[in-house]
Amino acid sequence: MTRDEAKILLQACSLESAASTSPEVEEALAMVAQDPELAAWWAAEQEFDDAFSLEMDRFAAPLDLRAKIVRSHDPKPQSSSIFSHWFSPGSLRTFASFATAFALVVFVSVMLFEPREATALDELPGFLTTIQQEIEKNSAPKKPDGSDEDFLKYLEEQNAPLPSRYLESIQGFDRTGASFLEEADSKIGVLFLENDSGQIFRLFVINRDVSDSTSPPFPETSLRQYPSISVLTWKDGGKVHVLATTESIEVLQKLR
Amino acid sequence: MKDEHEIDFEELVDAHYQALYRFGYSLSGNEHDASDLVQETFSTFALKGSSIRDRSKAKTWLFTTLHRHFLRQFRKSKRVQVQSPEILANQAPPIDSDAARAIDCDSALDALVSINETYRTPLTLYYLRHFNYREIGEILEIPIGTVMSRLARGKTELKKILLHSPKIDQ
Repeated sequence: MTRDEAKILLQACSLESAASTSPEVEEALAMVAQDPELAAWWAAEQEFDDAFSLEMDRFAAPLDLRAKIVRSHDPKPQSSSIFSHWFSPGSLRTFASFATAFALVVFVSVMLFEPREATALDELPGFLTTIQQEIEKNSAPKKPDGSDEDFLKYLEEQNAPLPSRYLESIQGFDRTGASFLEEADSKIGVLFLENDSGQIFRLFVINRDVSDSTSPPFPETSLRQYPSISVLTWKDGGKVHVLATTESIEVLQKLR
Repeated sequence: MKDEHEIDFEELVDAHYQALYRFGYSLSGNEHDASDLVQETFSTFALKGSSIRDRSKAKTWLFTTLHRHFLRQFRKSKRVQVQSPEILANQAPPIDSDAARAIDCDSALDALVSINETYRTPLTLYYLRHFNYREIGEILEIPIGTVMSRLARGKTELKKILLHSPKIDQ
C-alpha cells in the first residue's frame, strides 16, 4: 500500500471507528505508526474533523422543539403494580363477572340500535356543505404550481389553518395546489394532493373543537361515504383534517 | 419497579433530539422540515418503540426511522436526485490548522448541505460522532465498504466547498 492509498482510506476515519474495520484500514493504521509524514497528515485530518464536529454540536434545535415532542407524546399507563393487582386471583373473578355483564350490555345495544359511525362532519354540517360545493364547482382558487413550502406559506398568509400531521400513507403525495375557503366566521385551509395514479384528493383543515368520539385523534381515522364524496377524517392539535375525494370509498380505505 | 430495559420517553428525547435535529437539518436543509422530521420520528417511537427490547438499539432505531421518514416524505415530493455511481474517492485537498479553526457553525452546515445527498448523509452521521461505520451502514442500509467510500468522497467534497468559502479562504 502506498502512502496516497493509505491517505484515501484514512481520510474519513476517526481512531475509534477505524479500529478493526478492515484489514486494509489496519494496514494503513500500521503505516501511520511508522511514517512520520503520514502521521502528521492524519493528525491534521483529525484536527479538522474535531473542529467540524464541534461546530456541528453548536447548531442547536429550536427552543420549543423538546416541549413539542414531549407534549405530543401520550404516555400509556404501564404500572406493573396495577397489573399485578388486576391479575390477582380474586380480581380476575370479579373482572370475569364484569366482562360477562359488559358483553351482554354491548350485545343488547348492538341488537337494539342501528350501529352508526360518527364523524367530525356530523358536528359540522355547514362545513360539509361548503366542501361539497367547492368540489362540485371544480373551480377553486387553485394556486399555480409551487413547492410544498409555497403552498403552506400561501395558506399561512391567508390566515387559513395548516395541516398538522399527515397520515403516513399520504405523506408522499404530490402537493399540487392550495386554496382557502370561508365558512361562517372561520377559514378552511385546502391542500390539493395527487397520488402516483393521478387520483386527486383535497385535504381540508379547519380549526374547530370536536369531540374525540366524532373525529379521532391522530393517527386514528374515521371513514365515511357521502352522496358525492368520500371522506377520511382525523384530528390533531385541535384541528380537524378531512381528506376528501370523488373517488370511491375503497380508495380512502387503503389510505387509513 | 422500573424494568431496567424499559425506555423512558423523556430521557430518550433529552439524549437524542438535538443530534436528530442536526441530522434532519442536514437532510432537509431547513429548520421547519428538520423539526417535523424529529417530531415524526418520536411519534413513531411512541407508537412502535415498545418493540425495541434492547435500549442500546434505540439510538440507531431513531436515526434509521428519521432517515426513512425523510426518504418517504421529502425526496419523493420535492426532488428526484440522480444517484451518482460510487466513484473511487480522490484524496481530499489539504486544509491547514488555522483554516480548520476558522470553520464556524454556519459555514460548517452550509458546506454540508451543499454536498450531494448520497455523500452528505453518511458524512453527517460521521461528524455527529455518535456512530461507527457499522452503525452508519445499519442506519442507511448500505454495506460498510460503501459507507467508507461515501465518507471519503463526501469529505473530499466538503473540503473543496470549504476551501471556496470566503470565511476559510487560505
